[in-house]
Amino acid sequence: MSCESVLKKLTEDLLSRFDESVAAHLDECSDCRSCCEDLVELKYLVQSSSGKHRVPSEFESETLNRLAREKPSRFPSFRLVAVCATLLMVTVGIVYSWEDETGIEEDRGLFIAAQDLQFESDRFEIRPSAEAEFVEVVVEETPGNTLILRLPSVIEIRRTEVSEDYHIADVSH
Amino acid sequence: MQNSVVAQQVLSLGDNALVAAYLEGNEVAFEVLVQRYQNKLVNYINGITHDYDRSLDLCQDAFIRVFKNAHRYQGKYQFSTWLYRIATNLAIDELRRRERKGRFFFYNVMDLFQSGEPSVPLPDCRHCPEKKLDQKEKADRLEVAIGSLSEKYKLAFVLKEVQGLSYAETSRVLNISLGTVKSRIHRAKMLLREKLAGVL
Repeated sequence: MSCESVLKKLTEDLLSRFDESVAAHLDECSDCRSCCEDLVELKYLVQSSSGKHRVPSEFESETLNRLAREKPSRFPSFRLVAVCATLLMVTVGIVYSWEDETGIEEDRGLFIAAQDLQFESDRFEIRPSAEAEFVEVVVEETPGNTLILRLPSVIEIRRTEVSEDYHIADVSH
Repeated sequence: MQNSVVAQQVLSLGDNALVAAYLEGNEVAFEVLVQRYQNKLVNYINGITHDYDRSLDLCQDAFIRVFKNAHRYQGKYQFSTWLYRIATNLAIDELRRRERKGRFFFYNVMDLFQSGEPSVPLPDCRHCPEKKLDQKEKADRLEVAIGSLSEKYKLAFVLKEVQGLSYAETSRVLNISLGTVKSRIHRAKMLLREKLAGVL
């Protein structure tokens, strides 16, 4: 048995030093014997040194408190759904409007769906805001009641939707 | 009285049953799992990162991550395998974050002195009891030596030899083959033997 294979056996399982073939090699090879002694000592040192740290007494309660704060909802938040819906619908409206300007569509409209808000309107305008990355969509929600939506100036829709009324494909503006 | 009976019943549950109980709304099950693994996990992460305070944070992160994703746990492998895998990933992220930031830890300073052959090798004290290093010094030298191993050897060694996982579990935690685990541990032990010359 070669030194290399004996050492592999020993590092895999120290009890293999009691195997007949390994024991015979160790009787004759002082280098491997010395290595075996060191491995036994290393194992003892690791076992006696490990696990020396104990977590502080407040660790468990802090972990539980943090979990309680961060507990996931089974469903996406309504706010997120509402924002996504708003962005999508407004974008639909914007595209609708642009198509109207090019004469492809005769109708124009803006559809908004949000938490406590759902309506459609054909009375709106898009104007730049003070920040370049946002635009303002000014909508006449009801006669005399104006709503201003601040939206990202670039909206991407990666999904393609085709309906009877409009066609959106990878829109950004 | 009834509460303590329920608590006793929960305490006797296995890990997988505790995860199931937690998913059914039993908060005590989570507490039991934290109690069961908190010290082991902190020592494991500390064995890799050598930063006890940071290890506490990462241990907490691991528990939070586990329980936020508990519904994804399929029980195919042991719960501990999953927990260690998450902790391993967090510890590796921490090491890499340090590398990127170039943070200068005391541990790295020690590492510089340890690189290559020690300039003043410790005497071989095995046969002179009066000069034997005390257990604390030996443990410190071991910690430094383990820390100076490269990431792949360190992770395999700490999981198998320090944490006491089986070869199969270590292989699953690190997502490497059994043969690779064995060869890494072999190499790690041979390197540690060199680094701890005079201590062993």
